[in-house]
Amino acid sequence: MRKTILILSAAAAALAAAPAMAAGGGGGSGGLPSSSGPRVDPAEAFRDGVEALQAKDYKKAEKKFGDVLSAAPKHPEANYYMALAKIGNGKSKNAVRYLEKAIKERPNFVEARERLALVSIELGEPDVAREQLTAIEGLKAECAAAGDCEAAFVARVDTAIERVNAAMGAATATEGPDAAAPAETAEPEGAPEDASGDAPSDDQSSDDQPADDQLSLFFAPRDEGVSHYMGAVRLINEARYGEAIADLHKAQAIVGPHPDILNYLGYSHRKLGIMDKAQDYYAQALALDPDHKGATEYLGELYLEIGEIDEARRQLARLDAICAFGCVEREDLARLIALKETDRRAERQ
Amino acid sequence: MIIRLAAAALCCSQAAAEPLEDARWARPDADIVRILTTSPGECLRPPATKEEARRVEIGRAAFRTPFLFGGTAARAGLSCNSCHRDGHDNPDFFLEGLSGAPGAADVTSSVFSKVREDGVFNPVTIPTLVDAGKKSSFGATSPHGSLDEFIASAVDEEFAGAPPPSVIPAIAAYVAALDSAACPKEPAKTTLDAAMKDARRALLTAQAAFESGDAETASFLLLAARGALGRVHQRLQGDRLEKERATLTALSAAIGDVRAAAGDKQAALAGMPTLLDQFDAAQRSLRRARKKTLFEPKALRRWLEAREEAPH
Ligand code: HEC
Repeated sequence: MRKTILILSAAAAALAAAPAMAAGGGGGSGGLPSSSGPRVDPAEAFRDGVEALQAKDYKKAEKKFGDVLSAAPKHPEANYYMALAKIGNGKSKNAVRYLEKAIKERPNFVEARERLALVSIELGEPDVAREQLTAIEGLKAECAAAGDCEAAFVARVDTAIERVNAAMGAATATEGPDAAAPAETAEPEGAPEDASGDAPSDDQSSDDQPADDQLSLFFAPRDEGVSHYMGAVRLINEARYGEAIADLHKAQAIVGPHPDILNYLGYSHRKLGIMDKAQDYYAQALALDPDHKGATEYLGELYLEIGEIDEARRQLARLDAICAFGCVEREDLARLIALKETDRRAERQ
Repeated sequence: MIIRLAAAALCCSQAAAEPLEDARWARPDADIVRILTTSPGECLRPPATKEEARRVEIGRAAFRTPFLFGGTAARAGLSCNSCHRDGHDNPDFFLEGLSGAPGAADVTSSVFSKVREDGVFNPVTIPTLVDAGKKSSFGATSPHGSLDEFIASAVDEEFAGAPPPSVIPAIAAYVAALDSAACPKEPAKTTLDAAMKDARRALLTAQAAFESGDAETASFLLLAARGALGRVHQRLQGDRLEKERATLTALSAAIGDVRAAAGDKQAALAGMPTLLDQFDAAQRSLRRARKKTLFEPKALRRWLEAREEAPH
């Protein structure tokens, strides 16, 4: 039998209860009731937001993704969904900055680029649409050059190109920004099958457009997100960091902002030597859960690697405060700092 | 054996929200109250010599602490005792993707350290270690000729641990001392006193290690003692036990202070009597609140029910 390995993060163990739990944990290993009051769990708000989008309750979706983004402003999919909610509420113009943010955080975010192109056509800015079209075409060339094009990704890129071209054609044919039937863009697609069981809409696009792989992935059951995460942990154990990052992106697209995922994104980038991104991911993890032991430890390791021992020691002090009953994260960081100090002394002699 | 375990607590999952470490490995349909308030009972033969006693005590503490391991295993709170409860098997053990059926674990699988995967899902029933010392070959999957070797490979290869040199032989001595002739008649109760006693034994063993000049082992044992107190702390939930939690946290910090001075034998030894006094005072005050802790089946049941009802 093929292995169906579930690889679970252990780091997750204490923390996965995450923010809700960890926020009140008061350090140590127990999840004690918080005295600082409840706070939004962005992963939960994300889940609620996705459900609202599926139910076409755009008001609620906008509120929920607003909550998500206030805790995790960089989460690409949350930005994208916020844009869909805005569009659903008839506020296409407001959607633009969320789409731009989503693209900035995840440049190969085809859906966001496609949506930005379509919205721009609607808003009478064909130049922006053309820019996105070029960028979308570039994505295919990019992955081909890297030799890692996934078939589903290429298919999705082709779909996007087709859709944007069609919308541009329609817009020029009728020579007006309002010509692209608003229904087409005002109705964010991507809701899962079960939600589209209602009467066929007048949105002709849903009939002749192929199933949207990427989008249905976003709406995948939460378990699927968890198994992407677990796959990533295994890949990290095998030192396959690039692939791990891809899995982690898929995980966070489904699960929403989660400190464990962000922590491993930081870790994988650090192992690839991309220190600025790594640092940014650790910061995001710690923004969601200031007491995240893994991110605190790994950020300390990052400081060690870039020669900032004092900053590393500060992380160690943080771990001492967080881990009232000791923790392996503290032990590991302490050992690495001691090693570094020994190395330095040896160098000086 | 190559047990590379997954950690119980999945990212982002409900199970991960489990604050009680001892419940993380429980199969889904298990009677959590029973698991958290009883254990099979330790079958520990009294040591024949002082030297054996010293080693067995180190091994006993190491067997019960996640700090024996590194990597994901330690971070998940796994210890030898998670799988081999009181040195027995563990029919309630379950880890999704690793166990197949409850009570088993795939010993050629993934995750706690760098992988030596066989690509097959083949969980093996967790064996009891009682009387294992009388065997001549250990582990079915990848047999070793001695307990020391078997345990060394488990700790190092599977669980990414790197304990002080004294520890592996000490665990072997502990396992070898598990004898069916020494089994208690009834299962043991997991009480506040029993849990505190585990921590205190680790402290006394640390003191002995300082005396014999083995600061590294002493330091490891002090850390194990802090971890044991942490597991007690997990059982002190709710506003009414705030004072008791603070007492434990202060005690743990005091152990940390002695540990920080571990390099200085005289200072460390000088600190031990005060530490033990503080320990005993803490235990007395905790004892007064005993009924409110999650060591009490009644309180535990109520707490679990309340948690079930709470919106997540
Ligand atoms: C994840 C659960 C798990 C953990 C943790 C674990 N074991 Fe085991 N142990 C097993 C399983 C399963 C086997 C059977 C492996 C085999 O047959 O190859 C086993 C076998 C053994 C054996 C061989 C017994 C025999 O009769 O051959 C010994 C000894 C042992 N374990 C000791 C330990 C010690 C000491 C630790 C801590 C360092 C430990 N185990 C941690 C699950 C575990």
